[in-house]
Amino acid sequence: MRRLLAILIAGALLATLWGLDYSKTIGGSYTYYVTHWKDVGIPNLVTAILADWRGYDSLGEVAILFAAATGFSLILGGKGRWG
Amino acid sequence: MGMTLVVKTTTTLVAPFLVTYGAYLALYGYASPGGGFQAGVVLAVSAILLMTAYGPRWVKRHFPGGEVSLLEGFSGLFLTALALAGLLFGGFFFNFLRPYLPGGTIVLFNVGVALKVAAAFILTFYLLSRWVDHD
Repeated sequence: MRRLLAILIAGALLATLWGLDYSKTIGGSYTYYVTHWKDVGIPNLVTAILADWRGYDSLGEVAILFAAATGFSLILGGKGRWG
Repeated sequence: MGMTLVVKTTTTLVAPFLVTYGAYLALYGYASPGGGFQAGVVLAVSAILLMTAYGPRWVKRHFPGGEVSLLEGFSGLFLTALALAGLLFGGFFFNFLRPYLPGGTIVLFNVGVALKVAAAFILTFYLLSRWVDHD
């Protein structure tokens, strides 16, 4: 029963992902990034997007790492000692 | 304890260069391929190499877990403060140092992320190395 449910959920997810529109759209953020990336003052398009406009993405990444380390020390840490 | 003399000597030779490479990736990552996360992983690998060669106990004596966890917490706090400081100048994550520094806050942010990632990985390995019964 549980396995059937899992297969159903995974199948629904796959069907949703399959039906998405993956064609490239002209305009929107793509055009803005390509035309304005010199404003950042960094000679690297990837870093300009990732570190300047989407810096909060790295902050979320760091929050995930913090949560992982906290979970490790909570579950495996024991009483206060690191040894 | 730990591994043989050959492994120990090689690791001692390689580990400082890994730290230098991690620092280079963090400081110069705004203009070249690189960045905070990769730099942090390279920094953590230098400590993890020493752990595998010399045993976890030797590394824990030189880099105590309490200090590593303090470093992790403070670098996380620094990153959040840097993101919130942009709020004073116009917006969340606003790059307010751009006229004064090449890259602006991105360099500081990369350094913070590198320290955070390195500390988190080293802590995780410390906790997992408790289940290694032979040192």
